[in-house]
Amino acid sequence: MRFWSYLLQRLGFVVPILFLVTVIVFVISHVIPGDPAHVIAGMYASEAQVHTLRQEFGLDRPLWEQYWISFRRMVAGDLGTSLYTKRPVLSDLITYFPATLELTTFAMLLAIVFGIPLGVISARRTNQAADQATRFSSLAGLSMPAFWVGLLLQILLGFSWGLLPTRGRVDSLVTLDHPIRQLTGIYLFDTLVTGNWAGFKDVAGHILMPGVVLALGPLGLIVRMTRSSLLDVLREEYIKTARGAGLPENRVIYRHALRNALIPTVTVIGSMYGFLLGGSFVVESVFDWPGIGLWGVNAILNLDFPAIIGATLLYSLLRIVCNIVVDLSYYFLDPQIKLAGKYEG
Amino acid sequence: MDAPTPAPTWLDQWWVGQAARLQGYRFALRRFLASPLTVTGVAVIILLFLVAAAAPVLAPYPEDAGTTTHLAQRLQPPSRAHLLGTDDLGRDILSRIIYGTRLTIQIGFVVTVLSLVIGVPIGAIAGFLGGKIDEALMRTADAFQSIPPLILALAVAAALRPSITNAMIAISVAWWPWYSRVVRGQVLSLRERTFVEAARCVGVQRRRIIFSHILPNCFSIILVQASLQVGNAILTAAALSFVGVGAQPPLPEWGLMLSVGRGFLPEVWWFVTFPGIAIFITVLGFNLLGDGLRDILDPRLRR
Amino acid sequence: MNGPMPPLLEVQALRTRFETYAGTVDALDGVSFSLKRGEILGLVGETGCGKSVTALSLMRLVPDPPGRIVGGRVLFKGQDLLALPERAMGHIRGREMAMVYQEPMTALNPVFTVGDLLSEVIIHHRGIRKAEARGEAAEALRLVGMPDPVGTLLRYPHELSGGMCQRAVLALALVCRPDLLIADEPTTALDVTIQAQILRLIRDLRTRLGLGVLLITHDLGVVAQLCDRVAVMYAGTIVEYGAVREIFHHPQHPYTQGLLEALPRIQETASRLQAIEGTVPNLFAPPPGCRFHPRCRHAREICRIERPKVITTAPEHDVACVLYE
Repeated sequence: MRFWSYLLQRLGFVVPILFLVTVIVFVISHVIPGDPAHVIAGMYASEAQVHTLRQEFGLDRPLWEQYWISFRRMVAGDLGTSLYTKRPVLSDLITYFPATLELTTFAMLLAIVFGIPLGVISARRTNQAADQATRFSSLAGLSMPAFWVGLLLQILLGFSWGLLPTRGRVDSLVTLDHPIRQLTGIYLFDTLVTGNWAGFKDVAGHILMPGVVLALGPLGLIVRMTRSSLLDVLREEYIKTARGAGLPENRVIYRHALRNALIPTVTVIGSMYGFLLGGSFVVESVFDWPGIGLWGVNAILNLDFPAIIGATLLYSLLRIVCNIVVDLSYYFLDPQIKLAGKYEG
Repeated sequence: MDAPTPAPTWLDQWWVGQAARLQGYRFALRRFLASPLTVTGVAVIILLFLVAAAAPVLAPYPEDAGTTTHLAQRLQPPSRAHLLGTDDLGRDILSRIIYGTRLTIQIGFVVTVLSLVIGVPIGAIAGFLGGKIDEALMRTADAFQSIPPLILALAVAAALRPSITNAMIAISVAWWPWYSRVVRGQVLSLRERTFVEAARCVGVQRRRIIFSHILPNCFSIILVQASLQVGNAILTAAALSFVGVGAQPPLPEWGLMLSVGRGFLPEVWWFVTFPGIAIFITVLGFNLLGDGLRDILDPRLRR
Repeated sequence: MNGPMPPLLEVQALRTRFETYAGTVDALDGVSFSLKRGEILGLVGETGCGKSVTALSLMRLVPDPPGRIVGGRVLFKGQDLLALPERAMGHIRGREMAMVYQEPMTALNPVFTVGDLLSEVIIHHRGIRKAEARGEAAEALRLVGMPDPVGTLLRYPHELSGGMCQRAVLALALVCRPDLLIADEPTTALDVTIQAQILRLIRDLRTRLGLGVLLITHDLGVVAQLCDRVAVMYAGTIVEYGAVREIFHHPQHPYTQGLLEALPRIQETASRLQAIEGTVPNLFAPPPGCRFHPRCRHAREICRIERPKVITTAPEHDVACVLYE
């Protein structure tokens, strides 16, 4: 089927799901016992002040009415104002999102670049030493709590040996001398493109530890996924055909087998990406990385409804976008979809 | 010619069936134990259970697992008296880690069981009935799944008062869609098999078909998935405790210990290191076990 | 049997072993036969007797682990394939010796077009340019009787029917004009009408290209139609071997006799089908001595102790049975 109709089909699901998501989030965040009006007003506010605040934020209207108001506003593009930071939620999101995007993409790239070759090696030497070692370390990567690894690395590389900075994205001393032009908000890119070499080094140093920590889980998963799907593919008849035709083993593995094996791996990569975007808050909080993860967690802990809804919407949207991108990549990887009438998801 | 052999009695048939099954198990066991990784996993799990069971006996300072404090001995480095050091309230970290195993096991199993209880029936019904119900259920699962699990668990845990019990509920709420999908997939493929058609022809009620015929065949895939996810459940619970919405003091939960210990870095390194190692080893054990289980059960499924 | 020209393929006492969790299996226990240029040799036997393992062993495609070739020689054009380094073997596979398989639908990589696959093999073995390779690919498809050869180059395997897939696989095998074609049950998975077409095609190709064909099958009818000589295989050994006409008219080994008797024939009056008693032996614990003896009507004491030697009872007729010593 044609590419655009395929794309449209996938996009058609986005709206209903997002709708459901907003409902779920709204319900959950309003089940919270505790009165946000009190939280905002602070400990010393009088009853009257709290009451005014409540009215101001519309917190005294019935639940469904509150939902309807926020929904209408959302559709219009206004995500409300954060109860905590007092800034528009939308602008908060735009400020903090690039940091998370940069960190997550960096981690994902690390995981892919190291994970797929390791998975291939592991599959080619099944049950030998290299395989057992790789399987063990990938499982280990999946078993380590990210925050713990982060803390350990901070202790070792940051505090004890002073090799790498442990907090934040940039060193303010450096940015004073070499300010970073905010082109995309992705500092690694911005500093490179503007030739800001000192800035680049600083940013790279800061992103290295959190990036590696965040990459551990996905790395483990990618290695395992690649290994198992490659092993599956190597059992197939057409691999026998390729070998029987005299093609060298490397070509058989990397060209004939891997292309088929990557199809399920791509799914995992896609959903991992979405997962990372949402799960990065732990690493962000350990390393004080100013991303939406940290921002979102603060929102939840502070009962900041508009912010919570805004953050969740963003995460869900990202997740869905990732899924669609993965589906689209199938279109290129698996010829059966290009030609089929209907794709059964 | 010889006298005709007597027809095999049901006892003989049952015995032959059992013998064949036992053979199958023996092979499976041999394969299972052939991998050193799997054996390590099993060993770790067994060790975990033993430690949890023997906690009062093993822990050098069992009272430290609760609310007792020894402020005079706060933040001591590892020493002969306190092998892993003491925490900010002077409690022995080793003892708290040992008692923490009980909590961890509880978390792992409660979360898994809860998620299964919610997810499996939903997946089975969706897969079996198909059509609009399937669509509706799966879209709901989709919606739940599009919210990153940690965030969802966090939100739910924060909504209910932060406690370890609520954290467990929260994680289950975030994870049931995973099991639903797995079960639904399996049911879909089983539904078309002839033995189900045969049961339908005879007029067996739909509910019975689902529960007595189809679900038993899902058993091994559910087992594999569950064993693979126990580790994740523990990790998520630890993460929630780390952020503050999971276990609350004075529970000896390992994630909570890390969160508190973080404040005393970098001089007080032991507070953060040892509970983390405990989490790591436990989750690793479960993951190795789950992996091994999948190796022996899955190929059979494919055949 | 040597003619004035040395045989294209000569297999001597081939032994292949598999080590599994359930034990060790000698899938091939001393298999010997030879194949002349331009001849079609049939390798017949029940499922599980080792026919496919033989094919894989000749091509040295036995999965290792768990399998290994542990003995014997495979002389192809005078060279012992088992002694060759892997690289040299890579030059022979696909170029001088090729194979087609039982399941044509799964034998082609789903992510490549037929043209891509053929071109790749051509370029690898002959080093010509891509455009030329495509021409050769189309030529190969024409050779195997594919309707619309040029169009097929652009098709993916799942767009082809079973018969067309098998033709494509054949084209892939013949693209470098090898001297030996191993056909492992090439028609088992196909419809009867397509079966006939493919078999006729193989015979044509033998005549046109002077191919030597090792045709592996469990279907005696196919052997009768197509093969010049036949080797009957049982539980990893060859029990009878010789010209097709000779063996079909005067089967000597009890197993061969059983196989032929089990075939229903049109001319005879209807009576109960004669099945061979017993079942295929468990290769983890094969019967001592002659592997067929537990099912043999003429079994004697010695059959349990010694493996029967191969005896030539007539020109173009070898038997491995104690009855003929």
